[in-house]
Amino acid sequence: MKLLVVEDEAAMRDTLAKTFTDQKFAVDTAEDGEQGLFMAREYSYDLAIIDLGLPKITGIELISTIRSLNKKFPIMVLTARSNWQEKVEALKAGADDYVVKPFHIEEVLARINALLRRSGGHASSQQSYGPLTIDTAAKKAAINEEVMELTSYEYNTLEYLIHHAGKIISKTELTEHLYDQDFDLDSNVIEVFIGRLRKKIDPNNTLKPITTIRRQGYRFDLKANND
Amino acid sequence: MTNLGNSAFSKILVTSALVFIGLFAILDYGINELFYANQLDSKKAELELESLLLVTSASIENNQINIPEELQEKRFDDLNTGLYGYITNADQQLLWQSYSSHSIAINPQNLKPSNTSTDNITSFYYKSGYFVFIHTVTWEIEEDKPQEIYFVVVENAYPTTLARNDFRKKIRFRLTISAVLFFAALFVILRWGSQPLFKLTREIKKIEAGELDRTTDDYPVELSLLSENINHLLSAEQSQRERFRATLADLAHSLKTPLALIQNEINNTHPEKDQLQQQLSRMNDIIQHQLQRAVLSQPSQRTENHLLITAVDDLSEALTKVYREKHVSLYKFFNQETLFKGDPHDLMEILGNIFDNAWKNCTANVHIKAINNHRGLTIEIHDDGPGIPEAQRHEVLSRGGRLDSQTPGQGIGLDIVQDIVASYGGQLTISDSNLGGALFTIFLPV
Repeated sequence: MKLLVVEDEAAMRDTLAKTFTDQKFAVDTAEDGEQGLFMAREYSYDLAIIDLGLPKITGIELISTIRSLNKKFPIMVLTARSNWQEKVEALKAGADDYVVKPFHIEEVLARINALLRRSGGHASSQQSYGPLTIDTAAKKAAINEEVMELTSYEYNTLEYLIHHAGKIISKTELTEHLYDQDFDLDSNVIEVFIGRLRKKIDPNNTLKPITTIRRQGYRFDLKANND
Repeated sequence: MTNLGNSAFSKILVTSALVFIGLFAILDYGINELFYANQLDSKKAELELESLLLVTSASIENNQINIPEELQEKRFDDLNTGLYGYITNADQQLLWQSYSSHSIAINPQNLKPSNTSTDNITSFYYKSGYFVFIHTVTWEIEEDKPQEIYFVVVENAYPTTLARNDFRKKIRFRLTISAVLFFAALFVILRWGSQPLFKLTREIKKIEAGELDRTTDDYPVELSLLSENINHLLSAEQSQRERFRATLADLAHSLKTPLALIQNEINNTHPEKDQLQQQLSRMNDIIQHQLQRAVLSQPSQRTENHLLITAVDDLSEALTKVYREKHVSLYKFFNQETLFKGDPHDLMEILGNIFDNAWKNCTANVHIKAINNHRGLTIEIHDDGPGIPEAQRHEVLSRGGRLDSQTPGQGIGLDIVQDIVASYGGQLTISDSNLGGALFTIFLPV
């Protein structure tokens, strides 16, 4: 999952980026509204965290512009101004949730996970697909109730495919959502991750959770147990 | 016009009335004096003529003054005519008296003025209710010795006094009528002339009551400057208030970001993190609380009316988005026209915090009821959540109290609501809702 953090305070931006990276998210950062808008327009994200008090373009203007560009990813607002007028304005402009500063980072993470889950159409952070279970809050996956040893890239690849279950996801899209913007893109690495995931989830090749669609990409094909 | 003593209109009216009364009193006195002087003049001329007739009718025979039996003036010859004639000499001897004078007991000596100068040929004066005219002649009656003879004509002044009193009554009546008419005209003119002032007063009252946001601009030249200045003052005050809020919001922003950073740094590294966290949390609460107090509107800013439904809809739309997964059903039981009189930011803060708690704690339903009557606006927010046990209600409303301890860092909420409501002279109470959850009742007096 790839996040965009738009925050003008360098220390806060770095803290958020580090926390999200530690939580296996790919993170891009922007230091003002203009840069934030550029990145939101040019790259693909699963969620954006936007501070309302931004230089150049205000947070609310940025959110409105992102929505007017038909970008549908969830937006979480960070605000130091805890008045309701501003919260309402931000939500009206297109934000999906807000956190008031000073916040506990656990709270931000919990809300981000809830937003991501919601955007994937899931009510709970735990979803099961046959013998496969994924917990998006704990960032863990299990097969037959046995937790799998996955690297963060492997986990992220699996989570992204499950998040878009039934849809064909191109290698480029996967690459974009797994790596930071600065990362040197090499789509062949994706093939390696997919190969490892298949082996770990389905060592006997009976379940066939991920289908390769030639020249198009990959598709997660398992049906959810309860969703 | 409530304080007559301090009303310019009343002052002008009262002073004008006094001036009018003084003016009409002087006029009354002057006219009466003029009339009296005129009466005296004509009476003098009349009596002079009578005395001349008497002098010309007199003749000297046998060293005596002789007056014919029948005089040209018939009033000398009848009783009770009010006109009397006497002739005396320098020794005060009565030489002749008219027939008419027998009806009254006048001693002509008593009618003589005390300071009568003998140099004057004629003298005229008023004494003891009579007009007296004396014509002095020097005749040689005996032995060619000249002596002064006084022809005295006396007339009763009563009819003249009556006429004068009658005239005085008439003139006073007419002057009083004129004064009343003048005064009424003055009242009407003043009232008409001060209409724009009364209108301005009414408009300022409406601005105070929140029914107008500025004065209209159809005032006469003398008042248009004042009206414009009032409007400038109102808009300057409004923009100053906005600047003040913005400055304080900036202050909050600049303080809270470093606070958030410290908080998250402590989280992972510091050995005494719990104690530091507690202090940080307190600092945040203090900033939040004091800022909220600082931006709290002043009573003078609470003049405008705002539709309750606007704030309710804005907030419920926002919260439905935040708590999307709960699928909260909101029912509004109030008139769409229900008004809140005050600062819209205050309403947003009051409802925002209580709604947030309702959405957070409800199972699926939130009901909002509101009623506006002569006492004030009452708003009820019901939810079907677990409710708040009676023992905890006081704590929830006190500073730093939170309904949801699982959601740290989300502001101090209800004590802010409590502060705002109290500053309006209102009340916030918590009880049990018939939906099974909590009922928050806000009462804001008129």
